[in-house]
Amino acid sequence: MKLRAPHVSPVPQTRVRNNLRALRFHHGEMTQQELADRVGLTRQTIIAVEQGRYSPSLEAAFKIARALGVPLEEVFQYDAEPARDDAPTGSSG
Amino acid sequence: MFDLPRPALAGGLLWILACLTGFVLIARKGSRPRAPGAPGYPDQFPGRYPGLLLVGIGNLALAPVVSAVQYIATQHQLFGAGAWVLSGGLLVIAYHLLLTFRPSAGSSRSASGFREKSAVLQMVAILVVYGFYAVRLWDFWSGPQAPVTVTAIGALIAITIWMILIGIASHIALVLYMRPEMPDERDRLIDLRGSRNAYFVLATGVWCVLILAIAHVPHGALFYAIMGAFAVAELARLGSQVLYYRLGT
Repeated sequence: MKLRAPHVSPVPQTRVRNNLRALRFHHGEMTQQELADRVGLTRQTIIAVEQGRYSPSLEAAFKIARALGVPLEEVFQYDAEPARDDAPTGSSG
Repeated sequence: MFDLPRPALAGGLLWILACLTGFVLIARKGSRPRAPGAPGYPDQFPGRYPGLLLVGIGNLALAPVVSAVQYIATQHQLFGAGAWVLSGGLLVIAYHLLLTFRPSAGSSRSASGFREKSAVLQMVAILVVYGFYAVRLWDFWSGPQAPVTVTAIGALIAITIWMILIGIASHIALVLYMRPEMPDERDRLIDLRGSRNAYFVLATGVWCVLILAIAHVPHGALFYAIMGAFAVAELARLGSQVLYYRLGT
């Protein structure tokens, strides 16, 4: 029987996971644009962070956590294993 | 047949065979079943972009025919198919990238920003303007050579003016279409990485020009080679920026 290797996404994912989408939803359904305006990033960067395509700088990560009113660890988590396609980058909402 | 050199005829036939084999391989890959949600070709062949694949492989397969026609007409040139090979190859690569990295349904990944669109517009401007001068390059080799300084200065001024005009016009249109944004940390990072990639391409180009100079290539050709190196480096900078925006940093 032939064993198949787990599918790895062609789109590189960062090893930093996040709950940004869920936290935005719980924070008065804040839009990506509103969050971007609050922390001084572009909407495209917020989208990239949510989808695990970009790990923000430490300063930006603190700003995001502060804008959502939660500790940094609640927004971002670090994976020891490389992210796979079938393991979502954290957005559960 | 038509007085074509035998090696060229055999090469052309082999080329067409390779193109058709490539098409069959892509079609087989496309018809293979896949797990739900997995990205890639399967279960959507030829997908939303059948024209890209058909025209791309068609161009590649037609290249030897174009060369043969040119050879019959001129009796000394076999290189006229370069544009066909280039365009066909680019279309097939575009097809592959579009299907492999296609945005998933309901995803906001396709929402590209001002800077990404600006990079794409600049790439198009470079391809149009420098492409025109690449066509002129054929004249340089085949026709009587004009004084180098006149051609070089004229090309330099014309390229600069056209790049500025196309850049201004396309960005005015883009500003009307969407709101420009101030660059943030990700934009600056992508800009830096694009410049780093372009440096390697430009350095390679400079080495190639130096080798051409040592080989006593005419000054006019050196001028075009330097301009070409600049254009390719700029394309590498902008192209890698677009890829970083689409695929992640």
